[in-house]
Amino acid sequence: MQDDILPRLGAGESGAAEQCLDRYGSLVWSLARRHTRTPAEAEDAVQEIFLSIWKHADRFDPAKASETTFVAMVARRRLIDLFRRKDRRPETAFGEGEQELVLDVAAGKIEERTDAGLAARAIQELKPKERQAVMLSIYQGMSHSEISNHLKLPIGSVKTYIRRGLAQVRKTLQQGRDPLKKLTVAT
Amino acid sequence: MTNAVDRATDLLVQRTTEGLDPALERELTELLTRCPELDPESFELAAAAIEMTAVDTNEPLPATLRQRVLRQADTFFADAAAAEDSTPVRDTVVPFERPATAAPAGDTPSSSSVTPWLGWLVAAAVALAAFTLWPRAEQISTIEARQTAPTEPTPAQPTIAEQRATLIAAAADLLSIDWSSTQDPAAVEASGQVVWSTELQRGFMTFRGLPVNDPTVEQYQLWIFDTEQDAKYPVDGGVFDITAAGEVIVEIDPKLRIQEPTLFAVTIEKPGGVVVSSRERLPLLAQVG
Repeated sequence: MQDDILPRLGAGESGAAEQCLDRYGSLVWSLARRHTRTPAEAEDAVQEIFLSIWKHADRFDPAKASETTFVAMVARRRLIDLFRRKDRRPETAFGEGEQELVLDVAAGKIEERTDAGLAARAIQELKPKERQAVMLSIYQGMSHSEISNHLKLPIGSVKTYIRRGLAQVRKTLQQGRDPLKKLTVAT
Repeated sequence: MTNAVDRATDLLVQRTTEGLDPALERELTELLTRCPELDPESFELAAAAIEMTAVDTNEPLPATLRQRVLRQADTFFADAAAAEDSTPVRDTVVPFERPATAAPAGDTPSSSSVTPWLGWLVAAAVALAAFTLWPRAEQISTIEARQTAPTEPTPAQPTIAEQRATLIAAAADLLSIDWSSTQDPAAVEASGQVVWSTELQRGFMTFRGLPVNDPTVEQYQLWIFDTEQDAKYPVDGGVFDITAAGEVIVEIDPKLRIQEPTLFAVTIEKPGGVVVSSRERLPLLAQVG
């Protein structure tokens, strides 16, 4: 099991930044590429994301999530904020999701004993409409109103499904953390 | 579930999936103070875990980007340490790391023929409008001075004037814009130019008559407005000092990639620069086009 890097960054240890890039550079780059249209946009986003990571490293709580998940959360927040500021959604080159997810878990691409693995399992256990709404939102990057149009459901229902779905995934993660403690995502 | 908890939960989900505008973010912050039982990050952590199932992490971070992020980290932690020591942050000279080109120095292009006051009025209107809308958030990256003062060159390191000349000779897309003075007292005798190459992501500022500053009291800071960047979020172009009378050349140090600059603005800020300008001192502007 790898030692966490964020606590060292939070303590102001600048040397840990290089290790942070070694461990999470690819993850952050991949997330940025998913949410942006061009490599230049992705590069700008990556710089902003890592600046946020340096600033908020001391907020990482290993009892709540793995370090990998925390880094991904900071990255998502910055990416969503960037797009909200630009008043546009990302170009979604995202996969359809559901089927691929099942296949990835089955093929061992997603390690089960990770937050991502727990999330994958939790998604499979959601009710169909909750799963659809969550996947369209998180995987496809659709807005609530886009999902409403896509699924021909009232927007209030879409919000409810997403909320319930995320709450269920959150519950699974929280339950999974006790025995698993520190987790890392398969890379 | 109380109304406050219900509303806060809705906003947490919205922040997780679509983001919140500043007004909703403020509302959420206020609600969370009344709902300590809510974990403000739990939905976002769940969404991050879900999204990680779709991420292919086989592609490494590009090497040049990695270097930029590492330099940014060096500056961030140096500034944080300096702030902790309560000493003025500054005088950090980060070596220029791009490979030097050996092209001979060319002549400086002639000044553009902008009408100073007309240009200033337009530029000031744009800049002040943008300043007014500047967010009080962490959009602008940390301050890193990469000022290269006109000091003694080492044999392996060309002087900054030589580097500028090399850029002018090498850049096919060179912008060269005269500074327009404002009514700020620091601008009374100030003049000079900005040269910038978007293709090479490199540029220099030349100043004549800009007052020498005491870096323990105040410093100059460059901001770059970019068509690809929301006008509310100009890019930090670096903090610098005017160290001598006469001509001073300063390398531009944008913290983000510049796509298409529209305006360069110099402000006077507290030592170490700022992430949000008070916009009280704005001596020089250079508008593109």
